[in-house]
Amino acid sequence: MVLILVVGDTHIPHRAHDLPSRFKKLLVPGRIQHILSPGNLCTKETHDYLKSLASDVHIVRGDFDENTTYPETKVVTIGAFKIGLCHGHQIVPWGDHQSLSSLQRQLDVDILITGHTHKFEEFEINGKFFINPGSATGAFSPLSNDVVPSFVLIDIQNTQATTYVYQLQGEDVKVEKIEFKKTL
Amino acid sequence: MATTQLTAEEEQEKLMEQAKGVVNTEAFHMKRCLDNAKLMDALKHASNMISELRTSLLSPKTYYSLYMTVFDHLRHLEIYLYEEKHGKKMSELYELVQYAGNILPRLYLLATVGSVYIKSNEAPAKDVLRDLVEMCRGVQHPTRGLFLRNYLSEMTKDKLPDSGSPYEGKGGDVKDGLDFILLNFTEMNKLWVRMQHQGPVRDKERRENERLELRILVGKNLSRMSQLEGIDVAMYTESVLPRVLEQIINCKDRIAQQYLMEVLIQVFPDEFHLATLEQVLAACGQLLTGVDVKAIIVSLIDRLAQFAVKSPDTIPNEVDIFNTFFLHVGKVIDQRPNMEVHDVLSLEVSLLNLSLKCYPQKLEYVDKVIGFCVSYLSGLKSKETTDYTKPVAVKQIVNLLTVPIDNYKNVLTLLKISAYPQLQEYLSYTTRKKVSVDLVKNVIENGTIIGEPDQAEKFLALIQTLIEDSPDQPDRSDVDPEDFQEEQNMVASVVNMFDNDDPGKLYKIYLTARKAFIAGGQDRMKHTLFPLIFRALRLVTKIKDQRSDGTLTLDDDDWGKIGKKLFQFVHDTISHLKENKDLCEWTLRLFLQASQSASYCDFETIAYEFITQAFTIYEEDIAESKQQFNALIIILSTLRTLSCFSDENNDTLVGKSAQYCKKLLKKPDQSRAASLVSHLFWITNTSSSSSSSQQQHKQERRDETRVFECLQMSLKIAGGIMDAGQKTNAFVEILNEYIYYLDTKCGTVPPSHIPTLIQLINTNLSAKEVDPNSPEIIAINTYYQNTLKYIQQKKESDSAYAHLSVQ
Repeated sequence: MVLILVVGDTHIPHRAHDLPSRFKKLLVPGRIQHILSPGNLCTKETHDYLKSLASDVHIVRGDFDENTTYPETKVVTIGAFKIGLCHGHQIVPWGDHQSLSSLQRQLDVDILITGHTHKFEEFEINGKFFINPGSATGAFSPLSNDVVPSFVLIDIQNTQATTYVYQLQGEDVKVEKIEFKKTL
Repeated sequence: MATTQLTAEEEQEKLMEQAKGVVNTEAFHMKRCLDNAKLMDALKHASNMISELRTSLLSPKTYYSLYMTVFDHLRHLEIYLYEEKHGKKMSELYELVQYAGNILPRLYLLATVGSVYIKSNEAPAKDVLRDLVEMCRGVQHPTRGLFLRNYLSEMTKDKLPDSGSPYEGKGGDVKDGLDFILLNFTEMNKLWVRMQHQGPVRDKERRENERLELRILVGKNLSRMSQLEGIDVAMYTESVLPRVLEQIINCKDRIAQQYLMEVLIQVFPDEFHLATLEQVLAACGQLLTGVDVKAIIVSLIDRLAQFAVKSPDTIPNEVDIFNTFFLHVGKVIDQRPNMEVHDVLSLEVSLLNLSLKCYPQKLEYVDKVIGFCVSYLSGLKSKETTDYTKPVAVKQIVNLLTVPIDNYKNVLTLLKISAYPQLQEYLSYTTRKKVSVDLVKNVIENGTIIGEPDQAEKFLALIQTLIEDSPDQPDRSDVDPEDFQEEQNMVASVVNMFDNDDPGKLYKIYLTARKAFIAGGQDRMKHTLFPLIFRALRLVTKIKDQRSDGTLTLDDDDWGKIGKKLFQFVHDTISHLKENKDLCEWTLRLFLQASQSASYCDFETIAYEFITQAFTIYEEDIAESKQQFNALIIILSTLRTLSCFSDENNDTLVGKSAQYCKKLLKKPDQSRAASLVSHLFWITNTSSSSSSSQQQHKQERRDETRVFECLQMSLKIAGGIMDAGQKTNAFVEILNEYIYYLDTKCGTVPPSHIPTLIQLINTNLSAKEVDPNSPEIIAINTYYQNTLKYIQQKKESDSAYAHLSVQ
């Protein structure tokens, strides 16, 4: 069992003061092996917080990240899966499934993780999997009204990726499970 | 013949061994006589034994050791006298032992017999007790007298006439028991104090140490008093406390006063202290100046605070312990002008703790304490002493500021304490900053919402050290930039905690905050103005939504005014950042974000203005080619989401962006940008966008011709790229754009173009300049192969792909 935390668009402190306390209670150091973030954290403090949760942290550059040395895209191999990371503000149109599919072809990945829309989404195109973890802080976005705070946890076992999406609805954390099997 | 010099310790050891030897021998004989029922002889031996205690040579420690040995042996005698049938009446025995030669053995034996006398009930307890305590006056030597009286106290402790004891009634009552102990105590204290003045001045330190070793003997009397069952609050108030206090005050001895006050507070129960608070505190005021009154009062305050927390109902409402303490502490401080600053302040800290624990609702008490400290410190300042800058004093000032923060966990409560901000002035810059950081952390960690404009203003004033430059702050070069950034980010976080359902009030708060932040200068503004901008956008969006779903009724006119006001605020705030040219990439993005909100709210002119501002920054300030490319992509992708523009305005903006594409330095960038522009002409609601209903465009655009033009332009530019790898990559990207339009049912691309492009790519890939093993080519080829696979797969399901042949 390999656990990957997918979390992004936190926009601290520009649009939020902190992660929801309910989320922070769940994120215990030592339980997660990898962290993949599509970016817009936006400051070093949040990056340090992620580093305190797991030693392997990958971040790509969002349009409001202070750190300009983050790459625009990144590909990480974990187990049997090639996973791609990109913030998504560079993709025109934003959040468009077809355009994302094109990026997936370019990066040659099984799973593509993007953000920017602040809206959780998971879908499959031609046997490839697409994840948008949404905004972990429910940060304001001109694109969405009523942003629901969310993040995703991926559990990789062989060619099976089980994703758990955590969403904060009012005071409660709701969890949903979605499974994805890699086609060989 | 040399005599060996012994150390003082060894001397004492030797003396004690000698004395103990005699004691044990005489004790042995005494027991033997008792076994043989030879009482008179036994008493003679006992007397000899006790005589060893007549020595003046032993230090208190060694004397104590000898005393304990004698004590144990006298136990044996006592048991014999009580249990054995020696035929003598108690009164007889009592007479007999008075014939002992020296006074000390005489009194020890009297005490021993006396205790048995009381136990046998042959005489009233009070009479025997009075007799004994008076007779002990015969020994005026401090050490010997103290131990003798201690012996008396030990012997009689379970024979006092107390309520419920077997010696009550004829033997007296609790008042007699009390009198006995009080008299013993008074005499012992006198002896103890006398030790201070015996002997030459140079030995003073040694004498004081010896006194401290003996202090428990005196203190025990107070313990005995507290163990009397019959003493209730009334009796304590009228009979016990006044007499004890009288002795403590009148003995005018620093060591005695210090120790006995502490014992007094320790041994008696909290209820007694509550009832006599005034008297005890008044007494504190009368103690000698050398006494650490602060320690005494603090221990009393802490005790009562704990008591109040555990049993809050037992405090009678008439007793306002806070005010009593506050008044008397004030008096004590007045009477002692030489009291150290940190002592004064730690007294006030204890008062603060008391107030927070016992009277958590009464903010005015906290205000009183802090107000007192402020005037005290201001008094010091005017005298130009800087004692309050010493670390021990600073620590207490910080306590005064942070204890309420930790206690209330809500800065809004703190803001109600009027004296609080003034206290900060007495701290150094670094300490003020630290307190400010604690305040900010408190808000963030507790999620405190600051809702009222005056609260926001007061709070920002409290953390002023973080918000703007202070006259006493260190040089810029001494400041760690990372720390500075972290602090400013914390302040920025707090902006997200300003909230109110009333938009008018919230807007006022934002104005106040902006004013404060601007005073902080560019270094701070680039951190603190960002959240303000986003919060304002959030507010105007929220009002629009509330209008739409009916939660808020606002007529069009008013909505127009409010919207304009808020967007003006946003515009002006971003403009403040514009002055800093280093921030040009950020200000561009901020204007683009603002334009999205303006479009969402249907303020076309304002959205247009924001875009214009973004374009201006792009043209004037963004010069580096990579930055230009990144900026242009954001501009294009943003434009695509804006749906509020008239066709005319839209054409202008799109046209302008297309121009920018052509002016990019590098051809691959130009090609990519041109194909992205194509998306501005194809906006449909059937495209599978991930966003919510919000992104359903109010107007679709389906201009196949313009899409085609852009793609053709992109292709042409790509064809002019000289580097084979970059050229091929550009072609593959365009191929994927073709596929995009096929998938979105845009008929822009003639079917023949795709195979042609594929051929072109194949040709380029197999050219001899191209190294198939370079990582760059491998990546491009992978992209290309994935694209072909995709097309192959689509041929099976999508009719649009049917005509395509893929090699």
